[in-house]
Order: sequence, then C-alpha cells, then structure tokens
Amino acid sequence: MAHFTLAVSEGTFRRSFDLLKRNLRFSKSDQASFGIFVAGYDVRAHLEGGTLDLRADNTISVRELDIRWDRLRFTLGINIPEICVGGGCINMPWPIPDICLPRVCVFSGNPDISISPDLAAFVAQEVSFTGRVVARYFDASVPPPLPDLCAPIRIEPLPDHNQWHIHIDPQTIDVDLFDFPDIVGNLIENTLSNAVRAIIPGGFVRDIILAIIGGIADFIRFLLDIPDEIDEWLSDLFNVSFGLLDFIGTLVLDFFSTCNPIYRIDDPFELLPASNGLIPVRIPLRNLSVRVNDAEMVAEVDIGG
Amino acid sequence: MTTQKASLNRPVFKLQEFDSSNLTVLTTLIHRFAEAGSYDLFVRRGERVVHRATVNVVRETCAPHQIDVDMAVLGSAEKGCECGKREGYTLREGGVMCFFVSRGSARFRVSVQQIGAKEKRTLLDSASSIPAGDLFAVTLVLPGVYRVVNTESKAEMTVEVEMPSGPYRMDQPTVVEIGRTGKFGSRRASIMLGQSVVFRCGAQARIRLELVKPHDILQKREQEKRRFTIRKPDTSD
Repeated sequence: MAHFTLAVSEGTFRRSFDLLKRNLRFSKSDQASFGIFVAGYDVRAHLEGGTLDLRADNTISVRELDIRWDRLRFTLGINIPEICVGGGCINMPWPIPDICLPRVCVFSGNPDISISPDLAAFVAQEVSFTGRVVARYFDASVPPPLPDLCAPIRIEPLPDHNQWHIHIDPQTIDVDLFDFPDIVGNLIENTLSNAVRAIIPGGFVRDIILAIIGGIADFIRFLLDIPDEIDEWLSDLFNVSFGLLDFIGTLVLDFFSTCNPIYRIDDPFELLPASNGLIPVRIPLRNLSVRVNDAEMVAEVDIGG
Repeated sequence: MTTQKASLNRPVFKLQEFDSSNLTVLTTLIHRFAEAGSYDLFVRRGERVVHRATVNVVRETCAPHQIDVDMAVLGSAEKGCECGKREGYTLREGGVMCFFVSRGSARFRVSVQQIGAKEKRTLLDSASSIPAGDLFAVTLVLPGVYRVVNTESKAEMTVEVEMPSGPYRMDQPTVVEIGRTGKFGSRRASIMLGQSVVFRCGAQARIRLELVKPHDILQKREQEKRRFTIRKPDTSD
C-alpha cells in the first residue's frame, strides 16, 4: 500500500490541461517540386477550445480541440511552358516517309508565375485524442538527448533537480483532414488567372494566345494536371503531399506525452521549508503511479529511503 | 525554379502576307532530294549568303529521312559571311529538308544545286519558284480569310482561319494539292488558328497568301486603339 495518495479533481485537471494546451503553438514551412510547378506552405497555428473527460476505464478523452490557423499561406509557382503553333505530320504516299512539320513558338522564355494566398480564414480543423496519464522520472544528472527534439515546443526549461513528471499520454490522435471549400478553389483559380494574364500581352495578341491555350482556366488545369476541382486538388496536396497531418499528429503526441508534463513533483519533496535556522524537511518519493477514474486523477507514491 | 522573362515572338502576330519566294517565320519549305548524290545548299537572308552546306544524299537506310533547318539561327553564331565555311548534311535518298524560320522578321531564300560530273544543275531556287514535288507549309495565326495565289498559274483559292470554340489540336495540318496544271485541288480550305496548311506542288509553283478579311477580333482591336493626343495651344489671341 502506498504511503501517500494525492487526488486531483476532474475540474482542476481540466484547468491544468487548458493552461497546457494554450501553450501549444507551432509554425512550419516547406515546399516541394512537382515538375512543372512548385508548391509550398508557411503555417502557424495554436489550439483552442475542446473538451476533456476523465473516464472510468483509466483513460482520458480530449475532443474537438480547434486548430486555429494564425497563418496558412499556400505558395504555388508555375513555370509557364512554351506555347507553340503548327507542327504535325503529313501523310505521304508510299514510298515517301511521312514529313513532320516543325513547330514555331509564339510565346517562350519559360516565365514563372507565383501566387501566395493566405487561406487561414477558410480552414477549420479539429484534433481529438484518447490517452492515459503516465508518471515518468526526470533525473537531472542525465544529460538531455541530442538533438533535443522537445526544445522547440518545451514550455518550461528542464529543471536542475530531480522531478516526477505526470504526462498526458495520447494513444490515438485524430486530426481532421484539410477540406478547403469551393471558395478557396475559386480564389486560387482567379489569382492564378490574373498572374497568367499579366504576363500575356494585351490586345488581340491576348485573344489569340488564349484561343491557342484554350482559355486560362483550362491552361492552368493542364499545367497543374488537375482533373477535378482545384479545392479538392489543394486538399489532397495538404493532406497527402505536404505531410502536415502527420506533423500535427506527431506534434500533439510529443507536446503532451514527452515534452511538457501536466504536473511536476520535486524529488525530494519539500514538506517544510527552512525556517528559524532549521534545514528544510524533504522526503524522497519512490514508485509514483497515476491513474484516472471518471471523477479524478489519483497519484500514489511511496516514501523512499 | 529560375525566374525568366516571358518572350513574345512578335512577328508571328504581325505577318499578314506570306510568300514562298521570301521565307519568313511561320512558313516552311520542304524540299525532297529524290536522287542520291551531292548537292550544294545556299541559304540567303536578303542578298547575303548566311549558310552554305553540302548535302550528301545516300542510299544507306540509317541516314535520316528528314532534316529540319531553322534559318533564324543560321549565321548568328559569328558576324560576317559564312560563305567560306561549309557544313555538311547527310540525308537518305528520297528524304526531305525542311527549311523554316522560328523567329525574327528576316526573309530567307533557299537554293539547291546538284553537283553533276560535268555541270551544276539548279534544282531549287525558292526566290523564283518551288519545283514540282516540293511542299510549302504556312502556319496561320491571325484569324480571318486568306487569299492564296499560285502566281505561276494564276490559280486562286481561299483559306479561312477560324477561332476555335473549344479544345483542338494544332498538329493537324491540312494538305492542299496543286495539280500538274498548277490549279489548286480545292477552292476553299478551312483550318483553326495555329494550324498549318500545306501545299503539295504537282507542278512548279510560287505561292502567296494574303489576309484579305481579318477576323472581327483584329478589326475590333484596330478600332479600339487608344491614342494620346496633344493639342497645340490656341495662340490666336
């Protein structure tokens, strides 16, 4: 039987979780080349809202944490290919081989266009997870691992003395897929169209070039190889190609499970501070274990020698 | 991705007349070398020879049956005449050389002479006419109606270049036969903007095309041209 038992009510645990959650802010940027175009992102976000529930089966359920995008800048750079006319082969009577006409390019130079809209206002996502609470011992004499993966998301610096750390340890994390609405597809298409239009000369030359390329909208779809709607293509880009969902899932996992404990208990624990010339009274803590039920979190610990 | 400036091939949008005796951008002259042997090739820009080469036409099947020569880049490497230098082409017997101009507003002429045992025989002098068996292709970019004349036979036809209403392929040339009498095989042809019309000469020919009825988009733009006007101050007082 443990020497000490400590209980934290569900309400208090929620407030602690809320304080911890507010500090989860992250930013990331990257880009990838897809041949004729380069796509990238520059994002910054934090968590808000959500509900926490302690459950009788020793698990914690966190639902519908809102991912608030402070910035969700999407960058798309396209290398406009040459636009050529003519070409094709002439069927010649036997035994003369077919003759193929050379093509003449009316628009060359492979100019680049680039757009960078901020889509933060158009995206709403939530993250939910279930997990448990675990106790880990922090030994200040052991040097931190290198590289220190927690450094970018650690809220408080590592202590200079030994501690027991109680972590929320997510087991399964669900992140909503990026699902951009139609309006985003229209926004990107319009922005791209304007960028393409800007590099095409005006007047009848523009009419002719547009006729050759079959209109800017079709031209853009051809360049990006988009068979369907741009918003669906964009969602796939964020969900699959950029790997952002995996990043968010890993971040939530590392933030709570490894890098930031919800509670810290010094070891040895100071029962009475130094006073009147007497040294403080400290007791070493051993075998800390934690669990939850539907009403509270319970920690049990032995006093060691 | 490196950023580059867009480059517009302006002559493509300006030319409204094409002539097989003055090869410009959007025109292609296709000459067929029917017999094996050695040929002298001259390419002239105006009166200046910008390219001289020997064409060896051989029976080996491994030789190419088509060689494309972009005359816009000939003689651009160095200043001055290149007539002292000789380049060589090897072509399969019965093969063709396609002379075209990819850019610029220069006009070119091509001549080919067969080097025989005792004499030189001129097989092609585009300045005067295209021999029977050769082809002349024009890619038409400005929409409208073109009048086509074979000045050797005074034959005429029209080619209508239409604005496309949907997706289409530009690499589908329309072939117009020129018979042994020099007459065109059809009175009228219709192509889409950016496609080519190819005249296959059954007789000696000189072909001229002229845009006689521009499409509305060209006329409309002409009318809508904005002008900047300065009026002389009235000093009558």
